Amino acid sequence: MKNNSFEWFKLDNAAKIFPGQNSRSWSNVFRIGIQLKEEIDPVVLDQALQNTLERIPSFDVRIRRGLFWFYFEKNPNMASSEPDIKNLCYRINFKENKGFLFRLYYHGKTVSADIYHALCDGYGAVVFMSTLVGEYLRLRGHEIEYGAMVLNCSDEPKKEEVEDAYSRYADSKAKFDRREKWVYHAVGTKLPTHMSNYVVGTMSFEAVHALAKQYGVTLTEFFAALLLDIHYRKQLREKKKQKEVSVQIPVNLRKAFPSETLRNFVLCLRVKLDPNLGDYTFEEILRSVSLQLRLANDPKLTNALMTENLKIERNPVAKFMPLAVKNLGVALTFWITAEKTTSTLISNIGPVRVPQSVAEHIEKYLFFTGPGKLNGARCGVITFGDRLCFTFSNCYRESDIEREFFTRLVKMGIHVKIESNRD
Amino acid sequence: MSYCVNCGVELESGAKKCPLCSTEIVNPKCPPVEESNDAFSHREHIPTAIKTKFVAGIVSLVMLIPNIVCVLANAVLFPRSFWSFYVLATSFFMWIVFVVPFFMEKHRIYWMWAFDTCAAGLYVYILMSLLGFGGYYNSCALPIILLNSALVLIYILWVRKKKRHVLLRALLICSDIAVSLFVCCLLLAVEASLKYATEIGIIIFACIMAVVVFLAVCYSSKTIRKWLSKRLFVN
Repeated sequence: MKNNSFEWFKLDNAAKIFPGQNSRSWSNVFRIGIQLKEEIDPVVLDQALQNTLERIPSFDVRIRRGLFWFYFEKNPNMASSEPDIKNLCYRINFKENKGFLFRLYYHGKTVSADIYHALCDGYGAVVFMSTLVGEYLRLRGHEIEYGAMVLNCSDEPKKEEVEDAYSRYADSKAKFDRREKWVYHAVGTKLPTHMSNYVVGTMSFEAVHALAKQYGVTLTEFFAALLLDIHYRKQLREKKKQKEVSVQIPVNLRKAFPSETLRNFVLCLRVKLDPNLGDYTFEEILRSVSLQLRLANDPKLTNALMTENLKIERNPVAKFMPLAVKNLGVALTFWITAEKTTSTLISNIGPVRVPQSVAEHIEKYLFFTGPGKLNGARCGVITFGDRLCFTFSNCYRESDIEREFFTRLVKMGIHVKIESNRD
Repeated sequence: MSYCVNCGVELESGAKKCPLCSTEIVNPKCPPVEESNDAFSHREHIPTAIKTKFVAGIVSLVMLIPNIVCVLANAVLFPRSFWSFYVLATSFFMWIVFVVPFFMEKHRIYWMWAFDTCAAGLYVYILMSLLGFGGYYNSCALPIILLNSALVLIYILWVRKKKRHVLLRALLICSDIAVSLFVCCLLLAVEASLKYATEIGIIIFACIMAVVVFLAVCYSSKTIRKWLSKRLFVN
C-alpha cells in the first residue's frame, strides 16, 4: 500500500476546535474554485481526484472519535465529484459524503471544492485544487509541468506535508494576553438554514495594487481598512453607543516559519478601530490598520500566540478530559462567544503561482470563506495573474456592505465585475 | 455587457437586476435571459434532516427496557408491592409528551393537545391512587388539569390565528404556569391540609410573576423588542 504511514494522524492544533463547533446548521467550511478555459469532464475529474488523493493523503481521510481527541483515519471509500450547487459551503456532516470532509463540484468550466477547515487552510486547499487541476489536464492529454502549487501525482507523499507545524514551531516563553472586547456586528435578516448569499467581484490586480501603493499600504491592509471604514460608518449611522469595530485577518505562517505542511498553519490577527476615540477619515484608518497589522505580524508575537494556543491542548486536565466533555465545552464556548470579538473577516490567499503550462488553461481562481454564525459579509481574496477575485459570503439577506465596498472601489477608479448567487 | 446605473459595477451579460442594489437592468442590446447566471449553479441542495421516526423508535425501545426490568423485578422479588407502576406511569407520560410527536408526519397540534391532556390525567390518577390520595383526584387534580388544558387550547388558537411576538408568547406561558402552580398549591392546602402548601404556592407565584413582569417590560419597549428579535433571530 502506497500511503502506509498515513493510515491515521492527529488533528493539528487549529483543527482540534472545529469538530466541537460543528452543528446541524453550521460548519467551518470554505470553497476554492478554479475556472478553466474548457468544459469539465466529470469522468476524467473523478480519475484525477483519485490520483490527487493518493498524492495528498491528508485529504483522503474521515474523522473518527477517540477517547480523548478526534483523529483522522484513511478513508476506505472512493471520493467522487457531483454537479455544483447554489448553496455552497453548507455544513459538513461526518457521516455524509462517504465520510469525506470535502465535497468536489463541477459546473460548466468551473471545478470547486467545499473544504472543511479541519483538513487544511487556504494555502493547503489551493495546492490541493491546483494539483487536482494539473492532474485533470494531464489526463485530458495536455503536456504539463509541475512546480509551485502544482504537485506531481506520481511522486510519493511527503511526511512534512502532513505535519502539525504549530507544535514544531511553538516554543515561546512569553505570555500572550488573548482577552478581546466584544465588538460591533452589522447584523440583518437571517437567511434560511443552509442558505447563504455570495457575491464575487472580479477586478484587475494591477489596478488595485497600484491604488494600494498610492496609499503606501499592502493589498490586505487596503481591503481591511476599507471594510473597517464601512463598518465604522454603518455603526455611526445606526447607534448612539459606539462599540469597537474589528476585522479578523488570517495570516499564513509559512512565510515566517518555513514548513511544507498542507494542513492548517495560520493564525488570526485582528485590527481594531475604536469610534469613541474620535472621528476617523479613511486615510487615518488606513494608517492605523497598516501599523497595527505590521506590529501584530511579528514572528515573535505570532509564536507567542501559537504557544498560548498549544498550552490549552497540552494542559494535562484538558488532555485527559473525555472527548464528549471537551466537545460540550467547545460547543458552549462557541455558542456564547462565537465571532463576538470580530465584526468581519478578510482572508487573502494572495497570488496563486502555477507553472505556465497549467496557467494557460486556467481562467481564474475563486475563494469563498463560507458564511459566519454572526458575522455578515465575510470576505475572501485570491489573485491569479491579473485577475483578483474578491468574494463576500453572507448569512444575511441584506447586501449593503457588499454594495458600499464595490461602489467605493468603482469611485476610486477600479473596474469591478459582479457575479452572485442571489435571486 | 451591462452596468448598474446605481452602483457602477459591471454585471453578467443578460442579468435582470443588480445583485447589490436590486436595480432593474434595461439594456436593449443585452436583454435579460432566464438562467443567465453561469457563474453559479441553480441546483439547491438542502441536507436531509435526521430521520425522526427512526430516532423516536430507538428512543421508545430504550425506554421500554428499564420498564420491563422493573415490572419483572417487582413481580418476582416484591410480589406484594406495586412500585413498578410509578416507573411505568412516568415512562408512559414522558413517552406520550416527548416521543409521540416525532412519530407524526405533520405537526398535529390538536391531537397532541388531546393526547397530552389524557396522559396527564392518567398519570396523576395513577400516582394519586398509589399514594393513597385517590379521593382528591376528582375534587382537586382533575379540575386543575382540565382548566390548564383549556388554557393551553386557548393559547394554541390565539397563536395560530396570528403570529405573536416571542416575548408575548413566553409571557403568557409563564403566567399560565404561575396561576396553575398557585391554584395547585392552594387546593393541596385546602383539600389535603398539606403544611406550608399555601406559602410555597405564594413563593412560586411571586417568582414566576417576576419573570412575567420582566417580559412585559421588555415587550413594552420597542427598542428591546427589536434588539431581542435581531439577537435571537425571531419575530
